[in-house]
Amino acid sequence: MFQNTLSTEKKVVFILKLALAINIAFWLYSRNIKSEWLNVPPAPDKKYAASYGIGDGQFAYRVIGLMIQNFGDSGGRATALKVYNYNHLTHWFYVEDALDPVSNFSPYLAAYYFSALQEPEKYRPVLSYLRDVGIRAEGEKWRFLVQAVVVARKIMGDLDTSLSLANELANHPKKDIPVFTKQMPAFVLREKGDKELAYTIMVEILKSSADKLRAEEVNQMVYHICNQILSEEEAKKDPLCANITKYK
Amino acid sequence: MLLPLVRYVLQAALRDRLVLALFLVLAVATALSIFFGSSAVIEKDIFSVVFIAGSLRIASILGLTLFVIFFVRKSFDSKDIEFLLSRPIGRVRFILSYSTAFNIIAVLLGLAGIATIYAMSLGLEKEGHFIWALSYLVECIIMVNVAFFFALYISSAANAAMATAAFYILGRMMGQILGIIDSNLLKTSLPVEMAMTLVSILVPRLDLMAQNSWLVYGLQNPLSSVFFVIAQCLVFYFLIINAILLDFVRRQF
Repeated sequence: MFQNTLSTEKKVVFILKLALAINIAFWLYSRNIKSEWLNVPPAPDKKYAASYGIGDGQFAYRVIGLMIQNFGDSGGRATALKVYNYNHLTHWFYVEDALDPVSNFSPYLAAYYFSALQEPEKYRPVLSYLRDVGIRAEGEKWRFLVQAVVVARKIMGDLDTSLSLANELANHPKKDIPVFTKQMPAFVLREKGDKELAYTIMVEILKSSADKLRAEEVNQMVYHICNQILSEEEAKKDPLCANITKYK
Repeated sequence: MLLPLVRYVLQAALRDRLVLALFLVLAVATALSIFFGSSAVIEKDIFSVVFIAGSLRIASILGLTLFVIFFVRKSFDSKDIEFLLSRPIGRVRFILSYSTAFNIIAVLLGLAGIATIYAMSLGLEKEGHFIWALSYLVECIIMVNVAFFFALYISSAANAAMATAAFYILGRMMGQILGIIDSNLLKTSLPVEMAMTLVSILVPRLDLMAQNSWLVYGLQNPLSSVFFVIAQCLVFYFLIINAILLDFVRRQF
């Protein structure tokens, strides 16, 4: 009886070791497999978007927001922005806007993150979203319209669209926005150097609104100036970049 | 209502380590929410608070309802209920005592969650926080009684748990469902539309409770929200407790 139990136990231990060995072999095969990303999926209708948060609009906004931020870059994968379907992406931004029109998270992503793509023409649908958000008088939304002007001018090289957006900015319904926004059409028309224009705008925003912005947004803007707008030599000379380790 | 019976259920919750388990869930949900919130490029604190509130709401409802269901089914299986009813306790008092005990557990554990949210959302909207907390407690109370109802009606604990979960999701999605009906998108599915309208009469509007946007932006009309939350609690509690009583009074032991 005892020997029989011992024999069964040995068999069980043997089978367990075998299962473990098979598991390790399968792990060696599967460890480098990455899930396939099928590009930005179509966005749901605004009416049903709260379902992402089981009926809670704000929860859905944050869940979708983080999902948009990490589109294509999860599971150890990194995807170039030029691969993204910007039409679908823009629909997602509008869904986010319907869930929470007050937050700056999605406009921020659209303006400062997804604008850094290698094929600027793909960005065009996002401009209309930035325009729709930026034209609002609430909060500091006007800066997203500024970014739309800058992207259309600097990245896309589309002076007509840039001028049209700049004119809307100059006639913005919010009264207490910085003076330079009124000068934007002139900036575009005069076609001054891209870096100079972008630098002026960003520094002016920092000067006029830094106390109204969140600390991380100010840091992001300084980082954007020192790494995207200025060359390494220019950044080293600029006092604004003095606190960035790279240029100290 | 009998105090010893209420104490008996509360002791069972402590014995089942429900409190410990829910505190662990609270800690894990908070840690994970801070982790995910920190990965956002901006508004990190808001992300963390919304994620904590959202996950806590689901986790606490899950923990509380599972405790109620398994406690009630275990009481039936071990003949505890038959023994208790053999004592001079009326069935109505028995149900009211159990319900009161479950409500106390829901409120106590809900308060722990509220304290966590409050600590995490310092600097955010305060008035909205109060109404969020109130409606979160009401949601917990409603759901423990729904779980109590299904645990009495359905003899399988697993089925009762699934029914409770379905009820909760339906309650949370009721706004969306009614929105779909109102948008006339179901023109060809009139029976479905009618069925869902009927269901909506019996399901509380949980989508209007504990909205996370209140924690971030506050409310435009806090008084009407307080009124809605309290009215929903009273109206639905009255309905569910009578449904429970009806089943229990008719039951043959």
